Amino acid sequence: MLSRRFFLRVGGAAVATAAMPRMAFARANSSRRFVFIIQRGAADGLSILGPTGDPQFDALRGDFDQDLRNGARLGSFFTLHPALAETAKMYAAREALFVHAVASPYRDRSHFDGQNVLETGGSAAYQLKDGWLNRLLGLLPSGDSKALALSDTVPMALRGSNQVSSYAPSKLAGPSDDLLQRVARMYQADAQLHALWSEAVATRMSAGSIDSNGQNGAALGSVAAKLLTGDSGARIAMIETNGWDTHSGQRFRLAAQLRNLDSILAALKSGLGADWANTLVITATEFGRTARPNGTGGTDHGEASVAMLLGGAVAGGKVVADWPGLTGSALYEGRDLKPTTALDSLIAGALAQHYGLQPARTMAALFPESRGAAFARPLIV
Amino acid sequence: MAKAYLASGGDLPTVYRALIDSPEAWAPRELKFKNPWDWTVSALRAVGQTTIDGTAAAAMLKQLGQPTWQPGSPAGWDDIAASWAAPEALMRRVEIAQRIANRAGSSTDARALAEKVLPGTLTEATRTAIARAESPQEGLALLFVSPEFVRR
Repeated sequence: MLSRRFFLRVGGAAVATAAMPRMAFARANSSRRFVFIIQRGAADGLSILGPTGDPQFDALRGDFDQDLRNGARLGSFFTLHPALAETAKMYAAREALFVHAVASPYRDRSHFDGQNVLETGGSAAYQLKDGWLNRLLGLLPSGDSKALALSDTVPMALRGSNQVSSYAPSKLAGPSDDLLQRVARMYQADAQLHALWSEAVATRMSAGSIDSNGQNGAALGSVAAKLLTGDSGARIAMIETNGWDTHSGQRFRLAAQLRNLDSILAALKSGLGADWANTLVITATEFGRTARPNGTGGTDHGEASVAMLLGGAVAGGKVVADWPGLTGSALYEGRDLKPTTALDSLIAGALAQHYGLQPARTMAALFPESRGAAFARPLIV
Repeated sequence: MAKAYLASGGDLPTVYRALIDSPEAWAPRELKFKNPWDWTVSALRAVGQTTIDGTAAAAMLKQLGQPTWQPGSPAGWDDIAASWAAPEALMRRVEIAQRIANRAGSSTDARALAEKVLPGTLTEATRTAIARAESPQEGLALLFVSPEFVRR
């Protein structure tokens, strides 16, 4: 009778021999799953999970807090954006946990640099050349470590010495709403291109082929779930979402983004079926946005935001936050939500608990430049 | 150049001299809208791709309005901007730019690449648009459809 420890030492490849097919089969079936969903563009944590119980919130946010009117109340302090309807159900079923006022070590406000820190796990941009998600593969027994990026190429977080694959769903998205707006802005000073572009967009809109973002969350989530099931399927997946950079028209655009994210999560849960019980999903963004709206119905780049942990494996039904407050002196540089929890620590702690790894070893492997410790509070059942 | 040709009775060196003397030939700014082939090749070369699968290229060029070996007239492809600079064609370039950028992945820093492929002609507006892009891939797509890059 071979023990689990034997297989962990020997590794999956050796086990998958003719001698022990049934044991390899059994191990693969009971494997944990992990999905990392990156929100590119700096998602506004204060609108996604609003601290409605904070006395400063209404005054700071103007009419943005109207969006939260019909949202699910999570305790007496926080309200979840109503567009995250399925996510709210997961929270009620104790399968979702939110962490607020969380940020990576990065404190400037550039998307490229911030995303690099978020994905490499360094303490500064371009410090590390591989991603923490790839380094995680080195900590796991090979049966648990087959990883997949759902995009055309391998994103930075999954890049490194451990082998991963990528799969791009065949239905290509059209140009995103965000890209169309940026192109329009870029062409403003160019008479020829401005005229051509205005006409092109007008034609497309009347033909109805421009939808909110060219994204189809439900399809993406169910493809991911399918790839994560089965004995030879992946066990780790990374999904990329865009369109979070709401400098203008935030109320409309963020709601659309959140509906899409909600569809991805719902499709993952239903696609994974029984495997959802062993699954951890983490969503994170490179930084948050300003506490006060700007003059164009949006918010600008900030610091702390909200991260979500979802899945049957999660000790859910709670919001974890060391809430810094929203008074003038409590805001970071007088403008942004101040980070009080380290995202590095949260990710390392969650993964250590999920896979039964040593927290210190996990922290050192995933975030080698960090001087912090893995998050110790229980996140996983 | 036409005048030089007629005045010299068809003497080509005279026409060439007129060409070199013309101020337009020395203008540092790009003036001519690239045709789809030129644009596609320049975009792919910018991200270090020097070969392309024939079938994929044919499909892409057809979408961009220059179906391979099917110019529609024995005179071949013309180089008048009006033939290439059309609203839908521009939208298609944005789509293809997004696709090429997504395939290039996030390892390319579009800010640095912009300085490299558009030395001396990169405008502040484009530089800012690229720097403010939401993701590295979006920055790259914006570079490919920037006014400086769609022209030569």
